[in-house]
Amino acid sequence: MQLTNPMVPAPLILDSLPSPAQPDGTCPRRARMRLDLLLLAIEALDTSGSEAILAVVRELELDSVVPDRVALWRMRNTNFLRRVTQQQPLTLVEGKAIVVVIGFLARRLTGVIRQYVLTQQQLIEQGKGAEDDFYLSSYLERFRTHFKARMNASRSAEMGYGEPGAVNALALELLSQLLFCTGTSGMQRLWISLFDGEVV
Amino acid sequence: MTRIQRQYSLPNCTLLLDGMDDPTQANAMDLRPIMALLLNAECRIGNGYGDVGGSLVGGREFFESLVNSVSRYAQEFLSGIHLPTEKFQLVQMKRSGVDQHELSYQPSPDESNPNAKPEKFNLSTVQFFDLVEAIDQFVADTQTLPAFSLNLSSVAKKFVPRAIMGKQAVPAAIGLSGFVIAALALFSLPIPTVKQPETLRAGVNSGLPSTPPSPAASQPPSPTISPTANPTASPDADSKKIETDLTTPPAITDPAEIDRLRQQLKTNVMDKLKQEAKFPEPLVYRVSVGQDGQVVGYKPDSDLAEKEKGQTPLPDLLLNATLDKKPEPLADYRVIFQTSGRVDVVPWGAEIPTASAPSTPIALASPAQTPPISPAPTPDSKQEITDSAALDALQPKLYQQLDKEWQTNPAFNEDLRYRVQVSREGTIVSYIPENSAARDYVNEIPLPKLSQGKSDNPTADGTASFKVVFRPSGKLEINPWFGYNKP
Repeated sequence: MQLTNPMVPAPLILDSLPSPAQPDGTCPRRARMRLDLLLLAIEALDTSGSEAILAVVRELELDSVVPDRVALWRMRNTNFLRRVTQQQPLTLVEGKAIVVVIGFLARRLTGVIRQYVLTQQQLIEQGKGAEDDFYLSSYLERFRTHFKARMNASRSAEMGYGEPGAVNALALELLSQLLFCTGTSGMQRLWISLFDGEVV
Repeated sequence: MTRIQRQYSLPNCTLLLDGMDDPTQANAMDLRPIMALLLNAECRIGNGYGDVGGSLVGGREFFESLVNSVSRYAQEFLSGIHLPTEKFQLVQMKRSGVDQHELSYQPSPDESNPNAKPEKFNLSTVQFFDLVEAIDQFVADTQTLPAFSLNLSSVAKKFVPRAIMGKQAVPAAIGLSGFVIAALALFSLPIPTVKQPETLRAGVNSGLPSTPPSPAASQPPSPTISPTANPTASPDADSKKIETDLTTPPAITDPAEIDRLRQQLKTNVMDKLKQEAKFPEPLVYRVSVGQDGQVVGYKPDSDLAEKEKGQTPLPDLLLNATLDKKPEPLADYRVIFQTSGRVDVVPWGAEIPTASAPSTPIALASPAQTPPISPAPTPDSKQEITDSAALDALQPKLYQQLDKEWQTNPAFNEDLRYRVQVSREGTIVSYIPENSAARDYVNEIPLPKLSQGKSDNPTADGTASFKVVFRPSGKLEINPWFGYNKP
């Protein structure tokens, strides 16, 4: 891959994210899982999400990091919950590229994300569940379908995502995390938080 | 000096900053001069419909604390990892519910109001986000307090409670434990000594390969037949020695042959064993036997075995090998002198009938690394309990013992199969791992603990054999070894 070639400079847009002190220069396990799950939440919010991800990659000129669909697939499969997991690591540059893509897509979806988070909060105040709202429950259903189709059942159960209720809670948690990605410093905040408890 | 006001408005939160510009850098033409000094800050929390839910007002100290605490909590919200704050913060944030975040402000007690009560707000996630966004917009504004920065940094590993990391680390630990076990097993392997053949130095037989083969790999080092350098040997004898080194003796692999030699060795040992010989604990030796049944070498398995070797007939049986003796195929046996005076002889690699791990015999040699494997039972020498009633009674007893002691979460991902022998009273007499995982993970299961000290008690009443399977799912399966009716 081009990534391993130090002669190709990383796209400038990634410079807004600092490189944390990771001795092996790769993204930690939990970070890989969260990045893939955030993309999964975006796909559940926007039905054309998977195409939009690739479109944003081209728009932001991140082609040198994510040259094609297969590369994106490989990067997302570094999530250990996946049915097909990759033994190859996710480099910091690749991780940054995904964060930038997530931040960009989240900003585009700001209206939807904000509305869903507000709805969720109103439903809690009314003592109702997230399933009581048509739009929110469709999001949850799409997320559950994606999750079930792509994640390994036993590994997910190990992480506590065995029951549909737990997957719903995860989907709502990811939704509010995406809300924070829409902010002015959202990408930086997300990126730094990925390394919480991982740096020395 | 000019007074400047800046406002950052979001639907649920408005940040109002009141300050002064820097007169030394003031530029009359500048439409938006830099605010260099903060006098007062107000944070208004709204409910999204224009109403003001409440506001917090304070000076620079308050504002700095607000920015730090909110920023820190936003990171905690994203990562789920809490960073303990070292110093007291005027403004604090913590989670107070599923979608609730508590913002509290404790004004400094030395101010005009000494009994100031902390002001508290419960923010929803959207309100909290607006607060964060207002702060981020302020920080991004280079014309307002440019010295301010977010200083985002990841939480260091040492601040993370072990419980959280434990949850994350379970799958990693499973992998790591396997590595540790492998490392321990490999640790006991002797470091191969590279010995330069003397003939090379003497300049004879230069056609020989320059790297001498290490005999330790396939032949156990035995004190008597290990090729020792003979300083007086002629070059001719040396070349012969190298020849013997190069043609490492093949191991005897024929099962019938191994069994025949085993019987012969056992008979020899029993014949020579002194009647009065007493051993404080079972002594284990690795004994190498040639095709003719002669003992060509033996190696004590523990310090005690080394000390007590005089008590055993092994030194007497040892064949004094000559240097020019041709290497012959060898078979290795585990000879165990029990405290009761019984002698057990089993092929060295008998614990693992599968040939999956060829290097295991050496790894087994160190009792310090792996728990002692109980001697293999010899069913022919003991009475086997086979009647269904007795087996029916023993099976639940065995299950209860194991189930009670087996409380750890399985760290293995393969079934562990053991043959376990149980006395008529239900005590575990001995056990044999049936697969290599069973040997590797023997520490994980309660068998070593339960059979400790009982393995050498003579069981006059006979024993019953059970097949015990520890499954990675935590399931325990016990079945009679020979089924309910012995064929």
